[in-house]
Amino acid sequence: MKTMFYITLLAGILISPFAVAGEDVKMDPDLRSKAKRASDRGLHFLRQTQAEDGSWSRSVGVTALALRAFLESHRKYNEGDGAFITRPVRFLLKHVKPDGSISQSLQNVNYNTATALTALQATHNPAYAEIIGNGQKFLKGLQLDDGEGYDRSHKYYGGIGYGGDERPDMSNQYLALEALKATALDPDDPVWTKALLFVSRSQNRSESNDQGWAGNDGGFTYMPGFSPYGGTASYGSMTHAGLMSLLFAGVDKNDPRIQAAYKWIRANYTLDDHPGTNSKQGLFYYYTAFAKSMYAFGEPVIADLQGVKHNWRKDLATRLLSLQAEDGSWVNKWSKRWWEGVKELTTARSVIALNLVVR
Amino acid sequence: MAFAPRTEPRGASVTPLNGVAYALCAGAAVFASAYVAGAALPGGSAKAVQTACAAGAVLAGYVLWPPRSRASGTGYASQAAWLICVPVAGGFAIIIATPASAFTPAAPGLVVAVGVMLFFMEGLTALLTGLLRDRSSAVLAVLTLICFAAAAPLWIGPWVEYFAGTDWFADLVVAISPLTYLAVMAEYDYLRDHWFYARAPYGAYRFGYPGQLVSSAAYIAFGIAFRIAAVFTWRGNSAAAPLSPTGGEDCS
Repeated sequence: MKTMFYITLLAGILISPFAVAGEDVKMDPDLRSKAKRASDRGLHFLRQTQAEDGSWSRSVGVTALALRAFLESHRKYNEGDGAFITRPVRFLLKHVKPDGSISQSLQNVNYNTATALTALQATHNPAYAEIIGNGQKFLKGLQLDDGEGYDRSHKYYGGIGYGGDERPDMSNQYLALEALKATALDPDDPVWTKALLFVSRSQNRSESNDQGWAGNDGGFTYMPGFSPYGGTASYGSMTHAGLMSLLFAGVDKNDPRIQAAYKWIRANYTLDDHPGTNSKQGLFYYYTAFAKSMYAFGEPVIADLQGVKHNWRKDLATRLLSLQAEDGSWVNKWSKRWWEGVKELTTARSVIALNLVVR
Repeated sequence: MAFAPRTEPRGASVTPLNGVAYALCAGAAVFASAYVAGAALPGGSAKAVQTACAAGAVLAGYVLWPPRSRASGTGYASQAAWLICVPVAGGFAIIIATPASAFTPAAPGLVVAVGVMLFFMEGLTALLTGLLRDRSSAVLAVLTLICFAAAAPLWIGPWVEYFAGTDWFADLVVAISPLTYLAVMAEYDYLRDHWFYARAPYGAYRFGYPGQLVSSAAYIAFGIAFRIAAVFTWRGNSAAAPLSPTGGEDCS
């Protein structure tokens, strides 16, 4: 009996850390169902604000994000569910250009095309294969390389920008790479290798960044040598964008570049504001990038540098629930920058993040 | 800044020979300033260089606006010739300053925009000359106004954030900049290019550029309106002291 007691005690001691870890990984069922309800309320708001032509905010980009929010929700909506899905798809198709781009304007052509391709892919409808293929070619054409007279040593080489000018940045880069990854572009396509050059040159890691300004905190700037938050400072949304870009390009999770970015995320873990910016500008963009990159990275618990463990799903769900308005929408009440004063856009981004939280 | 002479002594004439010489010299100046404006842009994209070339051509073409005289009878003809020659010189600068691979179909539209901007600015100058009774002061005023308007996204931009729910305000600030017109004609998203992006928050806001046709029509309409108003202003002033709206030229 005594032996049994000691065996049980020893087993308990050995198993308990794993049991605690298991609790960390799991999300409280009550919070999970609240997150699903919040997602439903957000989608309800989007249905209420959808225009007659199926669009949101008269924008291909916003429409594509809202459509994606529906298609990736826990309700698993698809084109068979009705006009609220088929009309935005038609709106996107209406803006397909002969050059393969999908945009209603000459601005933000990369953003619009990339988000539209990701949304069309999420329909899983083979009828859009040709449009998606042409869109891939267009996005690849935006990449700065020898074709535009850029040498490999140029800091812009391999980068993708807005499409209305030539300067690339990490935000445009990650959205384009996300679209190419989502639409299953050949992993051996040269676009990935070139993209990695630009991505590495945007990281504050001197061992893998050949630019003289590179620091060593592992985070990412907006573009090589420039951050809108001063100098070449790393900040949250771009570090998540950088981490995702590395993963999309096929870099191993244990690669030092990825580990350095993850270390920055651990060192600056917060959902109260946008880390590295000292502000709440681009807060919801940050939340979406945070959810996407942490989902792609595959670690349910983040231990910060003080050793405190954070279940990112739980933290993000709690934060987004606290920010949702009565009508089901989200809006950045602190800053209009990055279009976060547009309810439809901010709501779509929040629902996309929640979809990953409950997946 | 040294301005070219605006008026000639009464009775002097512009002969075909010195007219050609002036056009050649001025064309070279327009070309040089446009080229320098484009080539000096650090790390600029092809569209940025093209737009800078066009801006250089507009400024040089305006500052070197040709002298006219009553005796020569070349007033409107020389203005028309100038409105053709300057954009052509700017067009050559655009071609030379940008690599062949980066030459876009938008470039011809940009050449037209140079002429339209000159027409607008000269119309405004005519009106202000009538009001201020001095062409040099009018030229200085127009250049100051143009510079302030061109930089509007830089100095008004930070206030846009406080106009919650008013996208029209952001659009208005963009529309009043003459640089926007040139950029729109070049199909160039200049407010998200690095230089502006690093200095103004505008690239982070929701705004729309005006359309090419709407912008062109607006500048031409304002140019015509200014000239009509200038004639009335000049007629009102002529009793007190003879002065033409275009600087020493008798338009009657």
